[in-house]
Amino acid sequence: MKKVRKELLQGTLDLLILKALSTGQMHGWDISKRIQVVSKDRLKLKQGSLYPALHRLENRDWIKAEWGVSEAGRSAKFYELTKKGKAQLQEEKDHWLSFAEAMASVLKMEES
Amino acid sequence: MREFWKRFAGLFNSSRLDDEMRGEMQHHIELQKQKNLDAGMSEKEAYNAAIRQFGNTLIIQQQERENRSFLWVEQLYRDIKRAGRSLIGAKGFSFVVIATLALCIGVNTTIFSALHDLVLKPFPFKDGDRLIQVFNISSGFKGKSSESSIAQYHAFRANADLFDGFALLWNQEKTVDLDGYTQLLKGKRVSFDLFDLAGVQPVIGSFFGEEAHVPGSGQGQVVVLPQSVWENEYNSDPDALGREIPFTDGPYTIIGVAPCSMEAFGREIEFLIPLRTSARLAEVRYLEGLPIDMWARLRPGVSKEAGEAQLAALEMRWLREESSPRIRSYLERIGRDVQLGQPSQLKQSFIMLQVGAVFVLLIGCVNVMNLLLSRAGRMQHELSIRNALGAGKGALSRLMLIESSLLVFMAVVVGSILSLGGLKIINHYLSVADPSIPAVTIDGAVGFSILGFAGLIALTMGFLPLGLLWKAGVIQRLDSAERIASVGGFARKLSSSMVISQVMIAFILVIGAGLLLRSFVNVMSVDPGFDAEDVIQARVTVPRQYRNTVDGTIFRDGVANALREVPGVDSIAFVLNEPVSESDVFQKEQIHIRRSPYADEEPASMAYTLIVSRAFFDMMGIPVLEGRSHNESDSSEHGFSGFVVDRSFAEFFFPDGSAVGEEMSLSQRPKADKPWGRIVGVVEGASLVGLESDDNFPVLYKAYRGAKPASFTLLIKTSREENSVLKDVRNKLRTFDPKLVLSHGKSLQTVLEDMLVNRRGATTLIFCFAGIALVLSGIGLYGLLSYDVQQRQREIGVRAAIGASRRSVLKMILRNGLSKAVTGLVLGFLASLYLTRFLESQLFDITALDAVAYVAAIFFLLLVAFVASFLPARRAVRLDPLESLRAE
Repeated sequence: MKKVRKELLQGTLDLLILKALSTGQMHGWDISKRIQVVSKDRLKLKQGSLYPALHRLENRDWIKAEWGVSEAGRSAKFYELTKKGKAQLQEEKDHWLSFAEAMASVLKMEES
Repeated sequence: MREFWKRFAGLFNSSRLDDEMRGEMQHHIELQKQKNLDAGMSEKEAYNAAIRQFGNTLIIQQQERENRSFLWVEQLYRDIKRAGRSLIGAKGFSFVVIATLALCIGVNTTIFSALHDLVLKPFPFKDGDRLIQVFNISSGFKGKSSESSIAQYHAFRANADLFDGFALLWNQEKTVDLDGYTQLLKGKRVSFDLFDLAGVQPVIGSFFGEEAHVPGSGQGQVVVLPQSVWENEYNSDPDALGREIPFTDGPYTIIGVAPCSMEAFGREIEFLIPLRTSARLAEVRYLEGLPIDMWARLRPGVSKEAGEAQLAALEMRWLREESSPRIRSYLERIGRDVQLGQPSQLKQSFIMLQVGAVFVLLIGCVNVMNLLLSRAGRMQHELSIRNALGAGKGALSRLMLIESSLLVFMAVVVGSILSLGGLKIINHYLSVADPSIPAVTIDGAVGFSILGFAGLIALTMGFLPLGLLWKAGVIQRLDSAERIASVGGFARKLSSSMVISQVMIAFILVIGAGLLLRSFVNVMSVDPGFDAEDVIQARVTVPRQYRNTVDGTIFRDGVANALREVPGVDSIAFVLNEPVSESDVFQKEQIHIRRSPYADEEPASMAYTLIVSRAFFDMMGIPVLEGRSHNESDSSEHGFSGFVVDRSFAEFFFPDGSAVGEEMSLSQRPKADKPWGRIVGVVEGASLVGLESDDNFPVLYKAYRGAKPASFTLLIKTSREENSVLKDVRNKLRTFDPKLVLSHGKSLQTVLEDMLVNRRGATTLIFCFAGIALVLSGIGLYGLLSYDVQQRQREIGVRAAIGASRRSVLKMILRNGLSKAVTGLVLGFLASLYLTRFLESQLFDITALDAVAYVAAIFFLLLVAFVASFLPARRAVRLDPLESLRAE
């Protein structure tokens, strides 16, 4: 059976999280929802893997977290981009886009 | 950097972080469940779906922990615990491995420390590697070093431009009068340039300069104290400067303190005083015979060989210019040569011991390796399961590596303790062999190389067995049928070739030990030519008031009379120096023989000289061969007129006729109108320079006369026990004069044996090494065969079942073991034929191819090999064929 490849390429999760957070403060579940909605369910995110990634980014000072109360009335950890994180997002975005463009042009050339 | 600290902090608050995370995930799952409920699922469905979508929280949390902290620290801790448990489980294996490695590491650390300290280490001074000892080798004396001379020092100092400088050290003992009793201090007379040469600065005060060497220069006697003495005796008091030390020969003013590093020149230095030289001692004829050491500093970039060549050329030149043909002919005869570095005696022993120690280490490592291979075979099942459960090659390697590191770590700890003990023994031997050698310690460099080496062993031990198993592909397959094939042919071949090389190395060591032991026995059975058993010697320091001709005689007669009253004392004799001492410190003097036809052309020669009282020959049991022994007319205050010579003197100078009645003189030829001395008797030769010396150097005895020595050696013949006699003698002498000091009391037999301490120490150690090697290679062979028998259980069972007799099974295993042993033996034999020649300088009265040693070594090795093969063979025979087949 041919597998439909939906899992994320390695290293792209961080970028997706940063991008999702660029619209403002949100907690973990919101982030996963947002990625799924924006990607129109094309990117299948293992929800659990979100949290280690969040904490990794926090350790790198790209995002910061604070405890708050969620809309459901429970205490939750809310994440937002730091200044460093914004710069990182910009850098990774540029890198990714140029990389993707390059890949695309190479692959298309091969087809023709 | 921040990340590092966050991770580091994560090590300590991991449970709080875990809780937070669990809360966060719980929140997520609840939100998801809510969403699922909204989508119309039932309560239970909604929850399960949420969990499914989220993934395994435990795994995620584990992933998070890896993220958060130095996971490897936590993991390492767990792995170490696991490895510890597994090693405790295999107690026998762990014990043997740790014991073997600890023994090898201990032995090597000890020997290498000694080698490093005594031979390899540069001096603890600035550019200490350029600081080097100058000594004279005399090939006529079997390569023994002999003392330097003041004349040589002046010649080198003036002309050797490849050197920054030269300095002299002269061992000196001095007595100090303290509150009514006398204490003996050991120190050195040194030339002023020693401090410059070493590049040391005074801790306080100053050092003396060149002017201090000139007697009567107006400056009083001065002394520099080593730091240790200043700290211990003067409490580091800066006011010690300017105080006087009341040496018996006059007060010396303390002018400075020298740093600890000066102890590199000898560990028993309690004072340093200027070497005052009279013009007489600087004459060329005092080329030998003074206890002087010379040190030099090479210019930067000058090699030892270049320096040596320059000194040799200079030596030739100044001797040609300044010495008489007689001296030159003497030097030629003894084959004198200048060399730089350290006297070779200890160096050779320690290099030999180091080679032995490395051999032991090799054998030990081979054993450990074989043990590991067979353990890996046994662990194969466990490893396969771990592999099947997802542990890859990396994880398995880590597992094995941690185990082996743990083993090596324990071995290093135990080995270090062993080597501390070993060093104590070595230091004890060294202090007897040469008290001027500083004590050996384990220093940083040695410790570091040992640790590096241990790490290497741990790596090999960790990776090799696993690598072999992996390569053989046995780990990847779980089925038990594969186990019979076991560790694979390659590993088995490796094991057996390792055992063969083990036997080979052990054989070389056993041969070496055999040769050394034979030599030692030969030396010990040399007849010294005198009665060493019942004669005790002791050094007497003469109180100052007796040091003139008249009182000196009164003193000596008084001592003799007093001692005759001590019960058990048969007779008393006096000797000016030590009657028995190493050839390089034994007094030598020039001999001039007068023969009637060519009185003036006869060149001078050298001979050992010893001043002895009349009772000497009788009490030592040295027979008079011709003429007579000394009598009163043989010496007077005008000089010596009658000499007694030994057999080799007579044969050397008068090969054709009797020596008795011939004319001769010492040191200088008498002026035209002055009388010559005469040889009055010939005595049998005696080993005054030790049992090992077979140079037959001529000996001349002068008659003790009313001299005024500061000290002399007292010889006591007694049948009583040494210590009790010495105690009585000491008490008796104290009643005669309370200030009298009696020191260094021991029997001549002890003196002779102490001179062999170097040989005894080296022989003992090599013997131990050979023993260890023999046992270890026996264990190695035994281990290999046992493993073999265990692996071939099935085959043996089949053989037995189809009718093989017990005898043939026994023969099969024995043949297997003995063929390996014999292969190793043959290789070892061939290697020994070549290698033993390097031992030649250490052998005494046998050749390097001594048949007895070889036959004995072959016998012992075959014996060990037979026992090591027989035990597993017997086990194989006892196997019940049915049982062993059923075991499969």
